[in-house]
Amino acid sequence: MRRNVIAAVACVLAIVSLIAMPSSAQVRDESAVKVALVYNLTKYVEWPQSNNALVIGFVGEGSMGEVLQKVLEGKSSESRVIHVVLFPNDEELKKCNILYIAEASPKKVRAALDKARSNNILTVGEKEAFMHQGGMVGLLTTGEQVQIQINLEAAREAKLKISSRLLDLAVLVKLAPVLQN
Amino acid sequence: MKMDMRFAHGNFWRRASHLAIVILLSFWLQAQTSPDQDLTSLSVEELARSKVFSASRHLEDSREAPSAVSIITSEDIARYGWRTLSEALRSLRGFYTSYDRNYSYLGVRGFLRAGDYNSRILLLVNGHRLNDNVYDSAQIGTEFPIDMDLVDRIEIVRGPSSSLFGSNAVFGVINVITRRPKDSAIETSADTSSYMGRTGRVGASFQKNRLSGIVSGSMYRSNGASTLFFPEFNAPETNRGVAKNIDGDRYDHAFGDLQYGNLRVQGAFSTRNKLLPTASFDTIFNQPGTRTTDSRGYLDVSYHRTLKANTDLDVRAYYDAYRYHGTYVYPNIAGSQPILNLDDGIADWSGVETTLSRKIGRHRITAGADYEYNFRVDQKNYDLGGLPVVSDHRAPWRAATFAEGELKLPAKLTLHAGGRMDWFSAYGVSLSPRIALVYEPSSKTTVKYIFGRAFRAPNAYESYYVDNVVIVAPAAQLKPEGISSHELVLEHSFKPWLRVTTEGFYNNLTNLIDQQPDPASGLTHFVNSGRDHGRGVEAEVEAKKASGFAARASYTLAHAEDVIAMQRLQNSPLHTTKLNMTIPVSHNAFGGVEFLYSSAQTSYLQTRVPPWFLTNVTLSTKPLWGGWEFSGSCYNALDRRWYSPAGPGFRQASIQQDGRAFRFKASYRLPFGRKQKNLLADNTIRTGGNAQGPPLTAGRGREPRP
Repeated sequence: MRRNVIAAVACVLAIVSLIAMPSSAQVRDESAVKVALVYNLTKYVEWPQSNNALVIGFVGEGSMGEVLQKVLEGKSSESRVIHVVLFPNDEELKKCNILYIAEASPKKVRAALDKARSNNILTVGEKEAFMHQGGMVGLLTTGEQVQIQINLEAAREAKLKISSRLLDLAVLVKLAPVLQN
Repeated sequence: MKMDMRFAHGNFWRRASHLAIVILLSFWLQAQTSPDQDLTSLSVEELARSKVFSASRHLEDSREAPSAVSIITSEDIARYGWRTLSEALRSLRGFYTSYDRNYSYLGVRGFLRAGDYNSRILLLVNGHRLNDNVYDSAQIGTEFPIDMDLVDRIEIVRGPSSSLFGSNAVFGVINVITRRPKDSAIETSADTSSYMGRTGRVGASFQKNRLSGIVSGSMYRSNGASTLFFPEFNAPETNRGVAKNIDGDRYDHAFGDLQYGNLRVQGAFSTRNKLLPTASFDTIFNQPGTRTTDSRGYLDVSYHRTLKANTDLDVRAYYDAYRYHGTYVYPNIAGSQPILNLDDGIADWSGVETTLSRKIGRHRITAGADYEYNFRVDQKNYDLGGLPVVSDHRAPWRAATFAEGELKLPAKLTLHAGGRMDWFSAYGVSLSPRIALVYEPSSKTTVKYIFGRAFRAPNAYESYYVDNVVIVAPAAQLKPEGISSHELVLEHSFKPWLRVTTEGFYNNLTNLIDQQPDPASGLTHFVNSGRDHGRGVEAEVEAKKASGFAARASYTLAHAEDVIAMQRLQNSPLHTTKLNMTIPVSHNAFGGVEFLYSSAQTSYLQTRVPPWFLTNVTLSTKPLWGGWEFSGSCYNALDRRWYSPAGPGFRQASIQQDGRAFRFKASYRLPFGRKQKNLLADNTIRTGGNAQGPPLTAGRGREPRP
């Protein structure tokens, strides 16, 4: 009988703890933060040609593409309407302002970066390897925060201007001459 | 039949309450925030400051692994106040532990063979084998040589893994991965606990360009329970069954880990000393002096190199040492002074391992070889001042080669097929094949079927410990024990942060090595005789939320049986249920609640060991005021009386465990030096996959998925 009592106590404890649990607003979902950072990029980056649409392309693995589309599609930034294109073909890629590359394999990252070059596209990635390969903006999860890394040289090559407000927050990255291990 | 009856008449209420909690949890969790929350109204500064959390990374890491994998993180260890590896492992589905007031024992899916020192579990630290070469023991209690503070995560692979790791990987492999230095800092922690327990630790980590490292030293002292009552000794001449002040426990640990580029050097040394209050092996009851000391050390040098874009090479060389020294106090019939019997197990060994992994298109092939030589495996037993009863010296070697392929087949199937061949200087050849088929019908669902064979080579103790008082030499050369197992695993992620795993398993063990009566001498000897099988089902729900809430609930039904005697195995609970919950109580503090239930077991002496229900509660903080962390724990909070079955050599059928106990712990971390801010410096972490030892989730010698 005593065991029954304990089981019941355990049950009640669990329920009470569920009800009493405060929802903490301090910790945010990683994907949600990254999407919001991408949105901020549209405000703090200047593209050479200006359109009234802003196209964000997504290639790679994981659920980030869907989240980007769900949150940003149709939203406006500085009076431009955002469109999210998942897995753009070559034609669609030319219209992209931002390409979010969530590829895991270095080979695919390289392929995506090569395609994006010469089109004034701001490339955004999540991995350190992405920055090594010449990506422009890295949203790297380090510990409990998302760190913004920026490769200014790569951005300049694509004729993109990045506001100093963003640069102040970011870790500036220079490509090291030899990084092969 | 007996088993079915018990299941039907079992305490329905209790089981229902466990189920109710799981269901409640799932419902409640559905209502939480999601990744597609719109945070675009926040400023870029606010976003950069935000603390983030990713559930999917933790929960999905192990999905593609060709085994049923669990991962315990450093966060879990802090939130639930786990003091030893054994406490962390018993929270996992299908695992349970026992403690005989000397060593801790790990049971897996209904198998915990009495008199065995976890030799059917392979224990690794950063990929380095920790089982010793005398008894094959995997030490998981306070005798485990690594501080829980140093652990980054523990990867647990269920099922036979001899196809990659060789001997001892019968029921599973446990790889303890230590923290990598993130920055330069000095850290220190201290705790105080019931039974006059106290622990102190000092450590430092540093990182500069390509060089990084971590060093740590710690001590633990505990007086143990001041009085312990053993009813089997309840007689006037044995102090009415009360053992006073002889439950002390102490250890000293040192650990170092240095990495320069792709080269890594790590070493550990630990010595642990336990007083034995149980009068085991017929020693004098309530007599101080009976004790065991286990010392374990290793030095391990490993090197990782990417040869070509798709080819990785891992090389490892090591030196290991193990010392066991037991002092046993016996009555002296001839004189007044008691006799001190001394027992020694000494081993020194060294070895090399190499693994080559190559990716060909979407497929991957891993192959490797290893060799190990024992400078000595010595066993001694003698009375102080007397002639040796046991004096054995051996210098065996073993070598192995293995290969495994991961083939991506059409229709979302992945086939893992591999095998390993081991040569032992003493026993000849052992083969261990394994086949796993992983089917991923969608990104949320995984189905795995795993067939594997594994073995355990006879250890030096079983083969050569001959005193002609209790044990005579085996009549025939002992052969390795074997297991063949089938597993079917179904994993489904209902949400990125909510995963449900169900599993069915069948294990068949043959040639089990048992200590049995020897009709020729009238004494006992070791012989390959036992045959067991076990089957059962498991279910687990795991959730991790951005808010900091995390929960894991599991149930295991394991029916393990001795095929020859036609009865349920000893030390084998039919049902085990666990619930672990982390609840954020404020922005910086967490409550960790743990409920553990095990149904009744049968002891070595064929008595019934009652079921037990444990509640452990821990309140812990994140770093406060620039580096202070606190935690307070209450173990066995309901002060339930509970027992562990004892093994051979004990007059007790079961050993009483600790009642309600407390621990208060504080740690402080002081970073120094500038935070490195360029890529070149961070570059050293890039090969971190290898630095953390071969990731079990991905297979041996392979880098984890980025």
